[in-house]
Amino acid sequence: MHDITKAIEIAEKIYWVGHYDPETALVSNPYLLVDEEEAILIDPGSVLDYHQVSRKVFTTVEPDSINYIILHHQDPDICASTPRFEEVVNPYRQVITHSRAAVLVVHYGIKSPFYLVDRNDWELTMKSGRKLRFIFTPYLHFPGAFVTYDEKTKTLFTSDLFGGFSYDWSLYANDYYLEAVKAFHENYMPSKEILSHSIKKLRDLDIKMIAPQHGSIILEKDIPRYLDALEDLDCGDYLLIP
Amino acid sequence: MATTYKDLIQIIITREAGIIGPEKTVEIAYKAGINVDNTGQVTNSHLTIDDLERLAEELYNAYGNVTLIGCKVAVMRAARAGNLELPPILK
Ligand SMILES: [Fe+2]
Ligand SMILES: [Fe+2]
Repeated sequence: MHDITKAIEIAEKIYWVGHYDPETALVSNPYLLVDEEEAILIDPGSVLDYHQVSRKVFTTVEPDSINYIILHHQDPDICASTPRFEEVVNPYRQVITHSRAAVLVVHYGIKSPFYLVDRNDWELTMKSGRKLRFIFTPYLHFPGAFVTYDEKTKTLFTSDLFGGFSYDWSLYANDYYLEAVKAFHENYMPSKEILSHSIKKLRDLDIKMIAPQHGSIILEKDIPRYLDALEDLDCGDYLLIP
Repeated sequence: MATTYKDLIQIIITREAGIIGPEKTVEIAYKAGINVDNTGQVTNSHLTIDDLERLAEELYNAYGNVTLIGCKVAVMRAARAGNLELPPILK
């Protein structure tokens, strides 16, 4: 069993720093990637979780080492605590996001300069030479949505993709997690055509772990089953509701 | 084979195992008069729109609206394909 009151290392120097509230079906998962002297906070999350998340982050790294905050899209469960983190992290940090999200996230009061993935060849090279690749997943579920692939550990941070609705939460996916994923995607992803388009693109990557922003982490042995299921999922209800 | 209410109920039982977990799903099903074996399959031979409605109500009362939105799209799609009427709670 994992002690979820602490940051949990899910891959080499990659930490789950989320907060589990048993009352919610939509658990949020912020992550912290540490690379030598530099750290990146990924989808920091809601103001409701700030206290627990920041404690986990700052018991793992020095605030000054956080040079980037990735915001995979503009939703409050991803971005709302960013202004709180901005008060304490490296004053020269940048917020990594898509141009379409940047014009929206300023409304949270975010002040950091932006590193726009669509203006930077969809990649970031860290000081050590480590590369993060950003893959465009448009309309899943925001027009500027993207996911982040860490070449070093082959971890894919997927934001809402592969997220699930689950009161029966565990850090790693159990046998039933696929149904939780279908439940979430049917409600939040627009259509089968749009979802399968991006899932096909993700198949080009060598993925060891999927780390979604909701629900549970999916390990390598299960990834093909999840890719197959989502490529085939009839999501969205715009044709069903009058 | 035409879609039946038993098929719609099976969609919900399978889905809720992911949302509230398999044990709680079986308990709720039992309260609604639906039997589920240890592989997650519904074993009643005939089920009606009233059974479907009772199951949805039990889920809603015990675990709230997320249990309904989590299965509604799949149930609506299957009901439409099978030309089956849905109870208001699942519309
Ligand atoms: Fe979102
Ligand atoms: Fe989200």
